[in-house]
Amino acid sequence: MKTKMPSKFLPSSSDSESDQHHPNVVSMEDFCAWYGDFQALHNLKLDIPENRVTAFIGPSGCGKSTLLKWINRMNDIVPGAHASGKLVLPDIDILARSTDVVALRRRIGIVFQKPNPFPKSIFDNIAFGPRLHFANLPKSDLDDLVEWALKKAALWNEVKDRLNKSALGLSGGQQQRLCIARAIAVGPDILLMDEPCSALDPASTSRIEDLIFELREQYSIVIVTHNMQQAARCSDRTAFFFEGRIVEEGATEDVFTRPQEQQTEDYVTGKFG
Amino acid sequence: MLSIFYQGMLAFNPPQDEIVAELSEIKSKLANVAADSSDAQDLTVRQLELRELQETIDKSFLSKPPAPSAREAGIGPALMGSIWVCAGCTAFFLPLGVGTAIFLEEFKPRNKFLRWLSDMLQLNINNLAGVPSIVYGILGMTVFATMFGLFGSPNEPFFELGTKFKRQYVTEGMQVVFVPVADRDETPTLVDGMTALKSDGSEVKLNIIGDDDDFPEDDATLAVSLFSDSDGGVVAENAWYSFRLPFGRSVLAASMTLMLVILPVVIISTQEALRAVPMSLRQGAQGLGCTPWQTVRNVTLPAAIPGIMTGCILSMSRAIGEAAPILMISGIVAISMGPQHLMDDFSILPLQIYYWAGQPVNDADPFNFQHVAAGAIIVLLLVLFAFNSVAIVLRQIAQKRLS
Repeated sequence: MKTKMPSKFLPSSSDSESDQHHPNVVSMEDFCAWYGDFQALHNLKLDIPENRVTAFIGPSGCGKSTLLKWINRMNDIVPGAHASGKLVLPDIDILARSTDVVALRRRIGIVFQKPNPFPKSIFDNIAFGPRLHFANLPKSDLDDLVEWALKKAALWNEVKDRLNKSALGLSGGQQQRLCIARAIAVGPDILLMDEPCSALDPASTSRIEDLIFELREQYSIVIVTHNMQQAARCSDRTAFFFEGRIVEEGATEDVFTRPQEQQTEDYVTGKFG
Repeated sequence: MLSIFYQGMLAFNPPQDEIVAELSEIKSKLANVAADSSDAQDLTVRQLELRELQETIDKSFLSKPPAPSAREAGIGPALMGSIWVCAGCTAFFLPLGVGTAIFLEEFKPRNKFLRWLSDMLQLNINNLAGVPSIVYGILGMTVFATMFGLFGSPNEPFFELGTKFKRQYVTEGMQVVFVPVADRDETPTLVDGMTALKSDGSEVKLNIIGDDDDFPEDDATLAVSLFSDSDGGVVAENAWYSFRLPFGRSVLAASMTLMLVILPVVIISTQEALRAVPMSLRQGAQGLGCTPWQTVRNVTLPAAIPGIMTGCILSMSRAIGEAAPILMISGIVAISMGPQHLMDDFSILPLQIYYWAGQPVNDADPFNFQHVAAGAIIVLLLVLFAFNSVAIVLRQIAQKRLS
């Protein structure tokens, strides 16, 4: 589990593991987003620390998924979606027109609510990203990379004998871990997860939560969830969203045990939502 | 229906007068079927007399050219013509149709005006799918066969490639000889001792005689003798790569016309197939850093291939059965050979059937052109059946591979 991704696949600067005070990998200020005339996000201010799990919680339609999709510009394909304010990585302005979206998405992987493996073999699913991004990768390196990613996603032991079988034959939880493996195979710094467990049974959910906990040693993870217990279990920091605004943000423990705002308390204690 | 099939079987095998009716079993079976079926009235006594089937099917029906007599007629050139036109049509509609569908479905513009434009385009494509095919025939005639008259007429094209012209003379000994010329209008000066080609390709030396000279005495000399002022027709010989502008009444013009007929159907069915690919797959690919084109190439298109293939093959089977548009381009029904190159004259099966079915019935001979037409219909149906089977098999294979 401690294996590091072969360094030749890593994007240039991403080694600061011994750093104790976790610098920010994404920061936003005064960030607003619209779908057409509807303003989905209002003046957000939030920092996402490195090598930590940040959870976005809140009722449906509060804008947490919208924010997630803006972080790697998945909203580009939605007609009428636009945004303003500051949303930056340490070295890249995410919102700038000149930003290379392809390179950005390579650094910021995303895992969706519903597992969406490609209708290809398990091997090809994982090799999909590397084949696109690392031209002329030798077969042996590709094999290593696929094995590394599958081990990292705690899936290797279950699928090592059937790498050439269709990925659609896996169970829901395995498919979701496959999607995580696929995302980390391109060597991102940040992993975005949009309710990764909401379509899974409790056993698969707990495996993925364990996985998230393991992965945070090397990746900065943002997870959107409806499940309060999940946020409490596996995140380090939590942001509570309500109607497009961040009501409260802080260390997970504080948000759940000593909420500063009435709304947060109502939500985390289950009075609404 | 039964009657058509029966008549068609006869076309493969015109009854010979000397054949003895030894198939009484078949006869009685057919008579029973005829008595039971609602088509009974179609089977007249005269047709019952025709039930002398030989043991083997005569394959030459598939290769013989059409002939003035029904017993001699075959569908060879028309079948070849249909295959050529359908293949040409596929070569054009596949890239164009699938490409258009991908563009409309996967690269939707975000700009308001462009979006409106793309909606209008979509509306037009939907409407075009319902236009009668004869209209496409007229369009194809104007656009491809004559090219609006911009490049001269099809008989005197503006541009020609791979065409050799020869003057054709008949010698005093009734032999046909050819003298190569540079272009269509050139008349060569006939001089004594010049070389000409015989129809088998061998070279001969011509013996040119003046107006006042006497005929040579012996037959061998007569066979190569021409008067110096004799006139001959022009013969064109096309290489396999020959090309001309405008296309004229050629296989190429017909293929492109048929492409117009089925393009809207292909585009719509391909769009449907692409729409059926779940959005989550596209998002997954984009989330991994795919460009829109990489997403289409690696994820969307492979997932949509079974649907696209089915749509395309069904469209092809519509194309091979269309008669109306080709009727405008080429009305030829008496042709001795299938097309040899893209600029060649051609006939197609539906046209041949249409012509034969309209021939008068000859009461003296029980075997008529209607029987030949029925035979051609069976061949056409078999071709369509084969196409559709291939479509189903391909879809099954592709689906199995994907799931």
